[in-house]
Amino acid sequence: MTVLPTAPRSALTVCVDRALPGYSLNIEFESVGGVTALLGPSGAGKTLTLRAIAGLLRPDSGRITLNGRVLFDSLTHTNVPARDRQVGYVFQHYALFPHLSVAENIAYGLHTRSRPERSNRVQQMLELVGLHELARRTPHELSGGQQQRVALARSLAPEPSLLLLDEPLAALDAPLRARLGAELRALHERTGIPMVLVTHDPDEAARLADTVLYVKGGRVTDAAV
Amino acid sequence: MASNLFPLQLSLLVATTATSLALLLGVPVAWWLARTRMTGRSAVEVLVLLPMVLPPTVIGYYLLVSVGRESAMGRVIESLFGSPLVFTPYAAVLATFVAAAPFLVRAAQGGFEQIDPTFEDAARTLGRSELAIFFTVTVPLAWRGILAGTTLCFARAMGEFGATLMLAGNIPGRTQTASLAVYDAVQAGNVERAMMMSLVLTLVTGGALLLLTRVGASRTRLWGRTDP
Repeated sequence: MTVLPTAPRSALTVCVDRALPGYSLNIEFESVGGVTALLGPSGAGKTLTLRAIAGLLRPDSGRITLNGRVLFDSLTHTNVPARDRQVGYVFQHYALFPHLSVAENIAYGLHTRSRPERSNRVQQMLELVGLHELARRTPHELSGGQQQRVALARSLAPEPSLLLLDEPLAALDAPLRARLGAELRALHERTGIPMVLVTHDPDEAARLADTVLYVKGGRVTDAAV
Repeated sequence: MASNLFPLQLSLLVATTATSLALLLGVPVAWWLARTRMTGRSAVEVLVLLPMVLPPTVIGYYLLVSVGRESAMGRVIESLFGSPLVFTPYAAVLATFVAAAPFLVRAAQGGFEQIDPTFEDAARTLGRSELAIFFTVTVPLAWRGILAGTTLCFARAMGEFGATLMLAGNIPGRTQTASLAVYDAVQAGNVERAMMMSLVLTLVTGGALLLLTRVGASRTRLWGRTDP
């Protein structure tokens, strides 16, 4: 393989090993932007891979880089903590803070900004996901689709370099799933942020992703563009 | 009249101080117990909770052995402050703290264990430090358990008798708390005083338990906003 003179735009390289009860995780892939889907049955190690990229799970060995920046390298004992990785994460059940309003949830990752900057950014994000009128509500007053939009807005607010989505549509019912899938795709076009998403649904992977990687038994078995 | 009320004032002061100490030290311990899976955790848990089941006299005896005038720590205290710890109001605070803090730890630990750790993970990916996460996510989500524990701890502290008697003695006007004063009054045949003290103690601790049942039942939120 030839060595590129400059790192490609928004490149993610992942190589993680982790022993688990029953099987071992051994995931290796690269992404040069766009939307990458990790497709596979439950228990294949997809979520664990996302957690490793986000810094929420420490691999036994391996190396993770993002835009040329080393996030994890077992050889040099590098392990950037999750808070410093600038990797956004949309959890399967969203994990919106139940004690904070929609606006406070979105502002949660903006603690380093000044107050006016923060409220500007919150307004921007509310507009982006079309939830202006719900800013003062609490998460449990929202529908599933609205909660997902808040989770997206919250993770995008601090301008991450990469967005990870764990089964972004699984908690929604069928008609909503199609609409929010299209919205997610549109959000990607508008923000240009690279995404890695996990799904067990081949149609969803084909509809949302530029690249689909099939994960089975803790391994990437083949890649189809 | 002032000397009549002294035991009650001392009880309130000792219980409040011991409960504050328990909040300060017990909440981090409860969090650690709720989040750690390492070996040795159970041993720490048993050690922390042991005062709940030990006879208070045994707690007092252990404290006398470890901070009494003959102990190494007791000598350090005496050389630092010029006087021994035992038979002072501070000794009453220490004995009360040891006897009552486990109640706070137990309930707060339960509160922390009920939190889905995904909330803390979400906060981590949003760039917040562990300390910020503890105060902005963990504690607000566990407040019910922490408040229940604080209430139980305070109620237990108001009723402390045995450990306090062993370590702080029963010196009227100095270390005689309300529960000790009840005992003295009964011994001396002063029925009126015993009844007055008992009624006030019942009211104060009963009020604390009333708060506890409200915490369990109500859906109101401590941080102000009420549900529509």
